Amino acid sequence: MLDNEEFDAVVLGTGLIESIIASELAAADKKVLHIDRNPYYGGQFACFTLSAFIEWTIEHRDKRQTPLVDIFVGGIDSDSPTFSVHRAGEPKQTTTLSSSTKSPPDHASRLFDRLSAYIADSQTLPEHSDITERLGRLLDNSRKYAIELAPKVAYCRGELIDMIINVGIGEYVQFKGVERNYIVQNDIFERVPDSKGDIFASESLGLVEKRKLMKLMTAITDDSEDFAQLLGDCAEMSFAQFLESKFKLSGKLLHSVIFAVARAGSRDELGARTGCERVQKYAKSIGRYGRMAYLCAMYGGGSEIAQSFCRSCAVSGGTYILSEHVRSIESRDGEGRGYAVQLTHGRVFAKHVVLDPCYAPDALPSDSAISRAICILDYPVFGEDTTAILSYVADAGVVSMLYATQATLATPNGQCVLYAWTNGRLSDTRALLLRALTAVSGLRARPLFTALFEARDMQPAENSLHGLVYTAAPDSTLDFDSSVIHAQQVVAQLL
Amino acid sequence: MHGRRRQALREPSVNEKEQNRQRVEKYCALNTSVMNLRAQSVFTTPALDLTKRLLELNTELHTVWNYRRAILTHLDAWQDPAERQRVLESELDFLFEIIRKNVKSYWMWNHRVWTLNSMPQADWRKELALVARLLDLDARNFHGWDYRRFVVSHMEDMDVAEFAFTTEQINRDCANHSAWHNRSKLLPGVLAKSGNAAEMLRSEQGLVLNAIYTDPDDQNAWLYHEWLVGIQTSDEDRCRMLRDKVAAIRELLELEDGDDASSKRPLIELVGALAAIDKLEAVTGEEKSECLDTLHTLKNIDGGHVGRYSDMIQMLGKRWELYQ
Repeated sequence: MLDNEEFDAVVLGTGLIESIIASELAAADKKVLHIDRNPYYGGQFACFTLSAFIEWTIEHRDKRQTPLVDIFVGGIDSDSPTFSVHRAGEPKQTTTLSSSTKSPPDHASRLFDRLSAYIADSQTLPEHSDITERLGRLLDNSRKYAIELAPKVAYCRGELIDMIINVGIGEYVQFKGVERNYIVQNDIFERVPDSKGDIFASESLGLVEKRKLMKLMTAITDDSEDFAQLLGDCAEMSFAQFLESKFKLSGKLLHSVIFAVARAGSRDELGARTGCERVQKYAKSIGRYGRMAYLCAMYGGGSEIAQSFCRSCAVSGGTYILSEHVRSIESRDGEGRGYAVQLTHGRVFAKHVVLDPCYAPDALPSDSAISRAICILDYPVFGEDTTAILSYVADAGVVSMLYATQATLATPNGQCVLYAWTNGRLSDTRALLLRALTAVSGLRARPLFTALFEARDMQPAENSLHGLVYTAAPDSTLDFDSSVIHAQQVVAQLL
Repeated sequence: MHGRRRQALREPSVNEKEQNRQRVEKYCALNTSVMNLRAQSVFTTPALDLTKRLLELNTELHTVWNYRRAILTHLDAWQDPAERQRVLESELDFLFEIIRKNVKSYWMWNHRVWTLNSMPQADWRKELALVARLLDLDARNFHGWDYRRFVVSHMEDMDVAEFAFTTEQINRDCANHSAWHNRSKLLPGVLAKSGNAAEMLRSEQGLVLNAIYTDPDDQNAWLYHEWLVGIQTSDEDRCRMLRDKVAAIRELLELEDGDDASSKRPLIELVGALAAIDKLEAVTGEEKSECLDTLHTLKNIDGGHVGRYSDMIQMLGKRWELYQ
């Protein structure tokens, strides 16, 4: 099949970053071979049906990057999960606990059987049948879920949207506006205004706060000489200090701007200039497509957009292979002759190899990680037709959250999904994530299914092959632009 | 429509010039035939069709609209109510088609009003929905708002709903003068109907205050407040409202930097309010100096109106016998 064929570039992994790179290289008339070891597209941005997500938990996840996945079926009040999936593919017991004896084992119940092997020893059988029933019910609607590994939204005016428009793949992806932006502190929800109209109509902002906020937004977006001067004078200040001293912001208003608009991970993280740039980006996005700053894609943003770039690459002549594994990558003899990539089904040569670090057999997980939670609730707490982002701010840290419903085809009718993520190892952040989920689900909704895991940063080994180009993992920002910028930098390097 | 950029004019190409010339020729020919028929008082269906073609090209020909109305009333169908309804309904369809070309044609709106007035059974709900869509596209189109008032006047019990509609429009854009204006038309009726007029007035003041704090430069809220003060029945009420206004402006000014241009309007309003209070009841010595100090500040920051401020200082000074 692939008999010593020559390529300009072999790209390993079909995550968003790799897909943009492949598409841009192909558009520049390079011969591209794009491979994924999974039977699906999307890599670390992949999006799954419920059963496919469980499949990922058991089978496809990179065990070095994500050593375990905690799954809670039902409530998350107790800290102990229903299943704690460590070593994949190695069931602890062989007894099956599926309740469906009549019909031949379908995919869902087979899946369930494999998962049931991870039930903690301490649980007794009657509880098991309760779990089997609940999980079975959820799996009946498996196809109506679109569960993302790395959820993100897109700024209405930003690098991703501009790139989608320029490359011409806008027709492949459908978006919906993110209507609401909340900041949650001390269990109090404040809706962050998205426009002058929102500020005017807000019932939680006092008059003085409205005036201060309008002054700030006008100053930052008008970007006059005076403002540039002011910013220059305050270059040394943190964004928080700048807002406090020059615009007299305080309390919840200050936090709304820092966390929910400028999206800082901590109070003093951003400098004055960066903070203002972030606010400008937010304000410039509002109004382009409606009264919102962000767009959320249907069927899972990262995955759909990655696939659109793959489609674009294929149209420009790129070759695609899924479920293909890389056995080895070696340097070809002599300077600048590139690499020999040994796949399961043959060998190819490439001038360049671009890879998701998970494809490097000698890559090691570092101590920096993003902890993630996915929580399916039995009631859409912000409404059936809404998409929202939230910032959960606590002393222990800041959690970014995304709320999605059937409006973006993320869940069946009558349910919703809450994504929560924050920087750090799961052992340190687990309690914070669970608190954030509980605060948002509140009293009206109960969790049906929750998964917690971490994605550790994979570093290529010290002595890894020289010249391989490694892509970054999805970062903890809310939007795709950093991924796009990174991809564009890689492309500039290669072309 | 509001908020759209003007397109830069460019010189038409030779092709375009020729096309334009042909279009103009056709138009003039059509215009001539229609005017001839009108001169001969021809009131037939073919004549009606010709007027339709002409009006599609130019909605501003009020003579032709008049002629069209004359033809319609002379048709046999006019005598029978059912037939008349059908004819006028298709008239509405025709108007709906051409509305997209020019939303601001007085004559077209006038014809629509005539059509609805002449119809045996007008569907006012449908008209309301139509004008709501128009206002969605352009919330400040006064033709739309005028037409909305016309439609609502033919419906029952719409005051409260319409009032809520203006609230919605103001919330969306507090600089929408048409919405504030419409609100002022409805408020007296709503106040009369509500059990608690004082409460309502307070919430109106709250709305105004909200707008002032959100955008102190925008004149709509200030004008509405002036009107609110005007509809008060007693001097006492007027003074109270004006004093509330003064207090609010003082708070607002504390937030602004002194030389910030946006604090010009509140200063002017402060002076105006104090002067107005003074006409109704005596102001304190402190308030007098506050007023005059503000005028001096205004002279410094608003050079364009120095003369006016100087005049006011003189006039007030005389009234208060502060200068000889």
